[in-house]
Formats: sequence, structure tokens, C-alpha cells
Amino acid sequence: MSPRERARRFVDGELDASGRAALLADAERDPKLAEELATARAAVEALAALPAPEPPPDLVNRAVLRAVQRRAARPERRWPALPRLSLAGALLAAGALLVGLWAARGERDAPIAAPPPIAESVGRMEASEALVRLVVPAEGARSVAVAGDFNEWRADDIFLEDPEGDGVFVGTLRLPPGSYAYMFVIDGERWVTDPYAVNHRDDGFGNQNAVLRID
Amino acid sequence: MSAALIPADALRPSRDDEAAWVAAACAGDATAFRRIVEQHHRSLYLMAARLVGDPVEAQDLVQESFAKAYLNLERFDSSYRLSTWLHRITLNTCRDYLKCSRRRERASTPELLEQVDDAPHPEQQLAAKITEQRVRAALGRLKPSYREVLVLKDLQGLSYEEIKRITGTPITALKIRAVRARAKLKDALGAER
Repeated sequence: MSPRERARRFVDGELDASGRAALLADAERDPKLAEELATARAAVEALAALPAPEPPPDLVNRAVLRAVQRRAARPERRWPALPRLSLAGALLAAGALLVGLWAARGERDAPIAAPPPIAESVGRMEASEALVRLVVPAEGARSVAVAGDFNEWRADDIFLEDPEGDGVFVGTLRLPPGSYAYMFVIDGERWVTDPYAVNHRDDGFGNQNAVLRID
Repeated sequence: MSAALIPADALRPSRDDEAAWVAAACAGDATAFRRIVEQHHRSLYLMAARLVGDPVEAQDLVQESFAKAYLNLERFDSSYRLSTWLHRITLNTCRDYLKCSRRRERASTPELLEQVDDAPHPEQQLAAKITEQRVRAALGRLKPSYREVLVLKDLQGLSYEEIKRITGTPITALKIRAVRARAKLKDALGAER
């Protein structure tokens, strides 16, 4: 585990008393760990100094009033009038609806509705497949691809995205049950092992491939 | 007479209570909706004030968020916590606000000096206020995704699992972001000196 991750666990309270003591002892000997710990602690302590602002006493009344007024002004909901459809058009529309429902199965990502059930590692989609979410920190990278048993180790096939522009690349694969070795390919040339992989396999060239196991 | 601390959970409404309030509010019962507001306004206000760095705007954003919630209450899925849903709406409302480049900047220094002028220990109060302003300014200069994770994790005290449910961001990405955000905050505080 990297010194940065160890320091994070310390300040996030994820270590027990013996883990904290061991980390502090290691920090005495490891300047990198000491630096990461000092950085994390300085930020958390600075934030702890911020007072909690109290909401104004009339906030509840104001919020309820605005909500009730807004709801009262809401136009009555009516079903939109359906356009006239020929039999062929109706069948096409019904087919499109079924395809849409099929594509959207398992997804509930409305902007205000309840949050979608995003799978962090492996989320079951149906009996034969699973969704696998990949996350890799690669600050400064222009591209991050994933190559593995599932795409014949092609480095130009599946690219992760950096939606926040913060160098954290993410992507979701849909895979049938099995065991898959894989690596990330940064900027088309640098092959790196998934730092968060639980399982590994020797690639025969002195490196470790990460391994996904889907039951 | 003996006294014992009441566990915080005992004071919180149960999920059944909340489900009943939601059902009644959906039917147009404003009193039931008021209970929901009373239960959650403090936490939502705290988050909004820290995200946008402006207590006056935060009031407006929280009111707006509750108005959106009341309009869309029929869409709430009771298999989730109501607080998660409300935090998500408020977070989105704050994000929209922060995207608006024309928002008014408020000068807080005169108000700050006025506040500490009559305090019992004005020098200590002033030093604390200056420190507070430095931290707030440094937090305000972080990119929004960094500020969000620090507000939700380090200031609101939410777990990564709860933050994932609110933001939709995977836990691993949140942890990486928290580490980077703390490093950026420390750098920003150093630059402030």
C-alpha cells in the first residue's frame, strides 16, 4: 500500500489503535509517509477549525412557503395527446419503446430521482453478465485504455474517460462470468497494473497483471 | 434523579415515519412536508453554505432545493434514505449556482471586523476569524469536485458510502479525490501566508 493511501486511512479513521501506532512508528523512519501524513493532517485540521454556520431561524418557514407556492402553481399534469399513427408506425413506436426499456433496464439515473445503484466493483446485471467499474488515477495522462483477456489485449479498443478532468479515469465493462487478466495502457505506451486490483497473475515477463474474477 | 444520554438515533425519525410524511406530503399535506424540512434543513444548509461559501445564497439554495423536492416527491424511491435524496437535490442546486459566472461576490471583511469589535477577547477572536477566512478562501479556490469531497467527507462527516450515494461517484474515485483535495488545500493555505 502506498504511503499516500496509508496516510488517507489514518486521517479518515479507518485504522484501529494498533494500526495508528504502527503507522506513526513507520512515519518516523519513512520521510515520504511522514510528508503524506503531515499534508493530510494539516488539511483536515484546518477544516476542523471552521465553525458550523447556523441556519437562520426563519429558514424552515421560508422553505415550506416557497415549496407550497411552487407546488400550487404547478400546472395540472395531463397525458400528452398521442399523434395519429398508422399500424406500421405504431408497431415501430412500440418496438422503439421496448428497445428503450431493454437498454435502460437496471438504470435509474433521473436527475432528481433516487440515486442510481452504481456498482463500485462488480454489479450483477443479469444471470449471465456483470458490470465492472474500473477506476485509475492517471493525472496528466492524455488517454487511458484497458487491455486484457476480454479484448485480445488490444490497447486501442476500450478507453476510459476522465469526466471530472481531474486525472481520475473511469469506465464500466459488461462481462460474462470468468477470470480476466488485464492492464491499463497510459498514453498508448505505458502499461501499468491496476493499483486497486485484488487479484494478480504473473505475466511471465516479470510484471503482474491484474485479474478480475466474476462468478 | 438520574440522567442518561439519549442516543442520537432515538431522536431521529424512523424510515417508517419518513415514509408516512412523504406519502402525506405527496397527497398535499403541507404539515407533513414541514416535518421533512424541519428534519433536514440544518444539514442541507450546512452543506450549501460550505459549498458556495455564502450564507445568504445558501439560504436561497436550500429553499430552492426543498421546492424542487416537494414538486418531485412522487418520484422519490423509498428504498433510499430521504436524506440522501435531499442532499443530492441540494448538491445539484449548488452545482448549478456555482456554474453561474455572474454570481455576486460578497465582501465579508467589514462584517468580520464589526463582529469581533465587541467580543470579550477581541484579539483572539480576530485571529480565529482570520484563520477561518483563510481556510474558507482556500476551500473556495479548489475545483468544485475537490471542494465537494472535502465538504461532504471532512466537514459534514459523511462516509464514503454515503457520498457515493449522493454524488454517484465510485468510492475509489472519491478516496483518490479526497487525497488530492487535501494536498491542494494545504498548498492553497501555504500560498495564503
